Amino acid sequence: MPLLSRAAEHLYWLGRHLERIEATVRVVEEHTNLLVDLPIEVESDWSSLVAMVAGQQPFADRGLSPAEADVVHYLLHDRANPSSVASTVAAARENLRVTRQLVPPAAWECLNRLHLTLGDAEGIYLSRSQNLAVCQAGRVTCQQLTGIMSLYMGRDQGWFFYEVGRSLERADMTARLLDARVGAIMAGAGTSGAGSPAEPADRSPFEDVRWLGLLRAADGLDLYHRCTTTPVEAASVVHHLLGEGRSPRSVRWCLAEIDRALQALPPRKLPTLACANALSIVERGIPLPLSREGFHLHIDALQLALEAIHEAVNDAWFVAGQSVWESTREVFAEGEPKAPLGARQLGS
Amino acid sequence: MLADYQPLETFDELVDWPDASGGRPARRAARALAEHLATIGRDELAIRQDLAAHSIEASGISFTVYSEGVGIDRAWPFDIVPRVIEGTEWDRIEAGLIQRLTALNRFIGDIYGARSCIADGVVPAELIEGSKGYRPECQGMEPPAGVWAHVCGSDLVRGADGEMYVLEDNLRVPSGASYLLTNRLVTKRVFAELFANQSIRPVDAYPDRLLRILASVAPGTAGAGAGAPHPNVVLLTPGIYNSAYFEHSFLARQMGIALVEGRDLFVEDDVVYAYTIDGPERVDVIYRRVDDLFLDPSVFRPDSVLGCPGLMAAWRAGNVTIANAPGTGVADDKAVYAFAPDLIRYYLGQEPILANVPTWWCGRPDQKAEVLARLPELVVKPTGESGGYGIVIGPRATPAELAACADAIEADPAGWVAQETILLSTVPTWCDGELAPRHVDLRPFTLQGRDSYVTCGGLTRVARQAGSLVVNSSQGGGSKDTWVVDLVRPEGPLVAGLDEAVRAAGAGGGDGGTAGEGRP
Repeated sequence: MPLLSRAAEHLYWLGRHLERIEATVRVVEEHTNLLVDLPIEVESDWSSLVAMVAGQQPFADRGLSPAEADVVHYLLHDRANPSSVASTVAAARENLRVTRQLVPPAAWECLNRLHLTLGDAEGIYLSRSQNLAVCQAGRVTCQQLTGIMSLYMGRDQGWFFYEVGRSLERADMTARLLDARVGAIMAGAGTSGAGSPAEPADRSPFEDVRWLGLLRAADGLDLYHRCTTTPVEAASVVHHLLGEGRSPRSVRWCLAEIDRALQALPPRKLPTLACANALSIVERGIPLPLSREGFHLHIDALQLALEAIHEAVNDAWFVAGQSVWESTREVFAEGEPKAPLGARQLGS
Repeated sequence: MLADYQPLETFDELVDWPDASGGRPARRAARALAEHLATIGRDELAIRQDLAAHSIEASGISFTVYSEGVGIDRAWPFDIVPRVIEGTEWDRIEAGLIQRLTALNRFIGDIYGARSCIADGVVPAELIEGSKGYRPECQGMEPPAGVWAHVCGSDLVRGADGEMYVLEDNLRVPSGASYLLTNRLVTKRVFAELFANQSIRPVDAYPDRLLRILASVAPGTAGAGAGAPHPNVVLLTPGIYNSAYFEHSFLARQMGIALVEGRDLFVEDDVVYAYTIDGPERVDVIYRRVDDLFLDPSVFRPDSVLGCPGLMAAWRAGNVTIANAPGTGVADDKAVYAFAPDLIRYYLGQEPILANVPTWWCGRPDQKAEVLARLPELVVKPTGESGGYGIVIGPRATPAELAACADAIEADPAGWVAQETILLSTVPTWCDGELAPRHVDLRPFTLQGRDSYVTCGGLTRVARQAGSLVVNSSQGGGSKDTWVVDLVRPEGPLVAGLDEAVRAAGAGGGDGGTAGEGRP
């Protein structure tokens, strides 16, 4: 019997949530590390993390302060924040609970351990080093899960939905990271006014550190050094994270993975077209010399294209026959709480 | 460890009645276990109990309890000391369970068919019409192989007399089989050594047998070997908020079948389909874990979102098999229970192998009079309820409660049964650093399709408070692994010196499946 649409949807979101946990802890880890490298008088911009991962408005509405303690707690532990690591782990656990019969048993045990660990920290502000330990636990769990899934899960339809979700989320998080950081680094590089190219002469003393931080946050630093001969500078960093075909962290790689997975699923036209469209944006590249404005236009187009993939996948496989059963679903949504599928939409 | 154990003055599953010296030696099937417990000692046992608890928490073996409207996922409560049953005794219980379910299936078919049991005066008609589990919508149906209840979870209890009684037949959506399987997995981890030197019957065939039984009754399989070669079997769950969701997911994985919710299904032209990524896929057999009244909002409760509109019509048209079939609750009514031995005699022409707890149905005037006279000694139960609701335990009730109970019986005699009070047997159980006797029951699962199967042993549920008889996990009860231990096999003794004793007791060669005449 083919995979149930509902199970496919949960496996897709399982992939997305797992990737998101990994990306979020890496960003928090990296920002903490970066802080250590910067002199005290350089103001550390914690609020950009909130903007990137969760959106600034809900954070501000809660009356939280954009300083390390509140931001890190909000991003890692706050159950009221649907994008926090704790919430995402809970959501991934629900995805796994509903599809537990389809994934290797070890995957559940692995994620469940992380869930229990995070539960121990619920409602408590942890120290910086305790939070780094939580980040490490999160990262290691995701790496273990990746191994468990890839070594033990059958390459059936469920696997490919998981793959699509995972790759799409990684591409999306990389795009968000670039969106949040590149403009800020270029603005901080001393050039006045938006739109002017970043000239090497204007480089601030900390720009190198910030570019390195960006690469680390995307887990791409080592590969960057191996793939690129030029020194760390804007255009090559951006190219590495978006278009480097040899790096499994790049958006291009993720889109190729999505395309491969789509070919293994029952054929549908729109998801494949949406994926090809996103790939063409990446392949086109950003016009050089790199400007803040040119970069933003490019990254906006890319984020929209990624969102279009999500919508195409959703329409093609998850809501099949919805016209027949929509009313049932609505009644259900009112009568009983529905399992969270991850409320977050792509884009901003 | 067992040397310090202080059993109660009742049947204990691991230690025998006092010997000449007043000591209580281990029962022979439990000797290896007793020796092992003596070897590892108290501290090591405590460590292993912790290990078991951690292993259960880490694997997420859980059940859901509801408190103030919020479902909480609780780790499955497990006691490390197994309950042991000798293989020859089990063979007889197994035969008894199959006999009983066969008769009950015949009875359900008769009720929804010719009703010869009423015409022949075996059961009174008002028993049926008044039953909460009776579904007029099922009248005239003939499900494949004549089987209505494909899965039965019986509650067995052993009294002080050593006799194993059937306390309840759960024929609707009985749960617990997954815990029976996971309890064994945990025991294998913490008592690995014990499995090496004795013959404990494995339990893990259950999901495979369940799938085969379900497939055997797919629509169109009426003629032997006919029908779809690979019917689509699905497990219908109410969803993650159901207390048994863990089990639904566990069994679906073990059987390799889709775990569906009502919203995954739809009916068109009396055929059931599931929404899949490939489009609609026909469903042949639904192993449903949703109660009758939630199955189909167009027939039963209109507000149900757990079922699927049109399901009953598809079932009646013979296009889908529902297991258990709707309406099976008519046979696990407590008033019908009282008649089960008569039903076995009537339909099968056999004497019941397993005894009922002596039961009186107040719908018969002579029996009602006896019940009212002996009320302080008996357990009184409303017929239509399950899960322990509305029960009055005579020996523990106040005079006011007994008076209220008598009034209730007078007001609606047919709605009440009374049973002899059974003092449940005990098993040594890890409590606060020592082994103490705790009361247990046993829930084996019997499967019936074109073939029958009984789990090897069952789920042993244990009351965790001293003296308590409440074993339900939702009310703080725990569970134990259950070992069916073979002492001899046709090829020779497994435990030196024991074969003589067993043969002398007339237990025979233990060739599985036959009910031994002379029980040890």
